[in-house]
Amino acid sequence: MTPTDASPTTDPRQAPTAELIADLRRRYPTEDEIDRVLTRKMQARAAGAYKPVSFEQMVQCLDTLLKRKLDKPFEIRNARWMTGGSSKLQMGFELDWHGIDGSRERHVTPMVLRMSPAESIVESSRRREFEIIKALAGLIPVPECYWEDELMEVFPYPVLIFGFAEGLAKPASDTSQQVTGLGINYGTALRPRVTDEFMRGLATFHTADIGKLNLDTFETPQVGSKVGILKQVNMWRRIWAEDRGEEDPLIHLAANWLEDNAPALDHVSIIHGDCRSGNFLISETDGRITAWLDWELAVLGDRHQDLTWATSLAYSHMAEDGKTLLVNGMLPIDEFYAAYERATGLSVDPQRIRYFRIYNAWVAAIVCLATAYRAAKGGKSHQDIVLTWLNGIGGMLMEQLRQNLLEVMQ
Amino acid sequence: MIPEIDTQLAAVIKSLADNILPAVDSSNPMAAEQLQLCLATLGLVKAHLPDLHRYLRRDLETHLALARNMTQLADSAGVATTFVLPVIDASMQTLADPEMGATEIEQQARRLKEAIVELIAAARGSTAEKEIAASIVKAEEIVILRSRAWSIGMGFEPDPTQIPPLNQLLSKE
Repeated sequence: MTPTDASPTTDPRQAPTAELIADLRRRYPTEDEIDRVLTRKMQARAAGAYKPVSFEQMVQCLDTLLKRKLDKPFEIRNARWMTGGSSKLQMGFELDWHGIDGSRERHVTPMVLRMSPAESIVESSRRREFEIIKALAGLIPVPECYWEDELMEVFPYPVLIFGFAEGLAKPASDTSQQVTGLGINYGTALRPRVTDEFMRGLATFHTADIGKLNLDTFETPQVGSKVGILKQVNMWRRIWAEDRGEEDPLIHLAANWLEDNAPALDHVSIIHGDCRSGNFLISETDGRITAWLDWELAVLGDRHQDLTWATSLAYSHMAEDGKTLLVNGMLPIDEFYAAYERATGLSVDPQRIRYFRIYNAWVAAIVCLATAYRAAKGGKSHQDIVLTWLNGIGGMLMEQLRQNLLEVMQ
Repeated sequence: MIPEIDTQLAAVIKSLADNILPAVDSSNPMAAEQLQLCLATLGLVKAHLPDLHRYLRRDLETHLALARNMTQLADSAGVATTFVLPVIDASMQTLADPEMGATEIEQQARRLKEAIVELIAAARGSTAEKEIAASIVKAEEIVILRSRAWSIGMGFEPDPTQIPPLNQLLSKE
């Protein structure tokens, strides 16, 4: 609230010392690539606010990167800023080129450049995002991934470049105005096809043979072990400790419960991490999913994490009858789970659903109350005003968490 | 006499809405979107500024009561609580001192919440753990409700009629 809160003398998180960073790394061990990204965030925090990158600078960096990557001539055309999301900067452009290996006739490919600001609502690895999208190509519709600059060798902040995907996040008939596009209503005409497409895609990546995919920056948890989920809990505990403005007793109660009740993994799945309506594009003419997006929180773990995220109240709305709640804008919850079991051949376990409902409510609260706050506090993004706005969901998320804890404490 | 903050904010909002917003380049959607959010944020700040001091006092009072209750429960289970007592005393002094402004109250509430979380850790595995957890879940109900009432103008609540008015929630219990 007050200017003094940002002062390093009153808030060690605003200018973390090497000792504080080392202590957090020691207390909350997590996956190596996640540790690297979080450590980099903390080491750069005292460096000051995000410095807007001019359009000309972006194009210049892009040109430099492409000269390093491509042997044949190319031309960048129609570069322009894109809007959407509360997290990353996006620039659209068309590349007139000979293809990635220079073997094709000159042609034009529409592309998107996605750049992280200094800090954003979630801190994630562009390299992991690049890797998972590459791995899923051919299994489900995803944008084609071309290059990443996670280590900022060319761009001032980490970058991912992928093919432009046609489609809409929500149909024009849905007039919801919320900033993050929550609770999308696909309408009666598109809903059945979108639901089928969603289930088919979810089933494909939840049952994918992990061993055959190139996922070097991901740690594969073992079936029968709790280590994977405990590393995830550690990661969010660490993010809370790095980003929070003030302590919250409920966040700690929930963290303790999640540690004490972590389920042993029964099947290793690719977890999207933000699996919900709005994070895939559809064709408005026939409801086909044209691209699954936003893989930055992907992890290898328990399918119930995605299931509970997708069926959160935040992404639900009432059907046309005014009394049936459609989760993910698709189906009543029992029908949603039944459709998932049919599509995957995997069970939906109520105990794990209960666990991940608490996990997801806890994570969402940490994102909105801690990370959104801290990024805006330091002026770390191009969307600070959006981040402070998202801070306002915090109370609602905390009540969800409180209700979930009440249920398991009885 | 100083400039009236409410009027200053009203003037900023009017200037942005009447003169700046129409001049924003329509081909820059992020600028237009952010200006709309700036206007909405300023509107909320203007509406809530008079409630801030009372809000922070209630927050500190609620957590003070919670800390006392937790301390009693922890004591009865043989958990060391001496580190909480000075923070409880300082919180009482903060609330008793009419000179304390919003910043001091907020900072004291933050220190108290740090102590509460330390106490949760200290009581983990003790016979008081469950009772302490129950006392937190109960105490946080009003804290969360106040927070939701404060943010209701942001439009995230699915059913805003379920949230009591902020003034009612800030009244002395």
